[in-house]
Amino acid sequence: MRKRKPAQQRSLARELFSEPVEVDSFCREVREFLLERGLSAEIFPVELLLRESLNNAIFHGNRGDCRKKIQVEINIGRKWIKLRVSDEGLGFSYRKARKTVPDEDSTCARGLAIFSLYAHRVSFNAKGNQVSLWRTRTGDSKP
Amino acid sequence: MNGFELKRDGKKIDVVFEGDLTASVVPELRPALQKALEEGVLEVDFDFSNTTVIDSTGIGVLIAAYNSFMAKSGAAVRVVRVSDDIFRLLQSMRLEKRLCVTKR
Repeated sequence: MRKRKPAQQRSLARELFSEPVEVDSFCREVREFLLERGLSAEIFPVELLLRESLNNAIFHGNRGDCRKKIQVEINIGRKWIKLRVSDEGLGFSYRKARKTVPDEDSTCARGLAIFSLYAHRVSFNAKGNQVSLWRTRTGDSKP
Repeated sequence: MNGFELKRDGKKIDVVFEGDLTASVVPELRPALQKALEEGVLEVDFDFSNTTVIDSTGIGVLIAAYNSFMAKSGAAVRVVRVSDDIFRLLQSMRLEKRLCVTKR
């Protein structure tokens, strides 16, 4: 009888402290995770989306309070890669937020524009402190 | 580790990143650039040879450097040796001309 190959884990979930070094460490883990699953072409866009959502959680959601936690999860589906990031903050109104690319001399406010450019679908919970981002595994029509 | 090395040659500096330009690198990079500005540097090259990812915080510090160096001394600011992925990102942010971005 042939031995069945063990199923590859399709998700990765972590609880992080609100510190940029935690983001670096998780992103290194995600690079390996995607590489092992043959998704090397998705490393740049997925890491970019992750970093933007985690930075938002640290600096806007948790207001840089390093004692506050962030929940992060990445799921690999047959067609989609889904990211979900939650913080302990008060949330914000995604509908009212600016999502277009800012002026060339602006030093901030590019995070949501990056979501629009690199994710196929963006969704926030009602409170506005949890973002879900979907990207097709082939990156159709997105950079 | 700072995440970058500053190489000074007269009035020019090369900022060579050891890895990615992200939120964890920016707190040490900002004061280093401020010091260079005060010392009268006239040319800044940001070298991305070893960089695979930049986030919006990193983009923000490049723009801040451009704004302050140009305003104070008209200094040239260039972003050099970027990967295709980073070039596309900076292009989609309409920054490739302003920051004189060139590929590897």
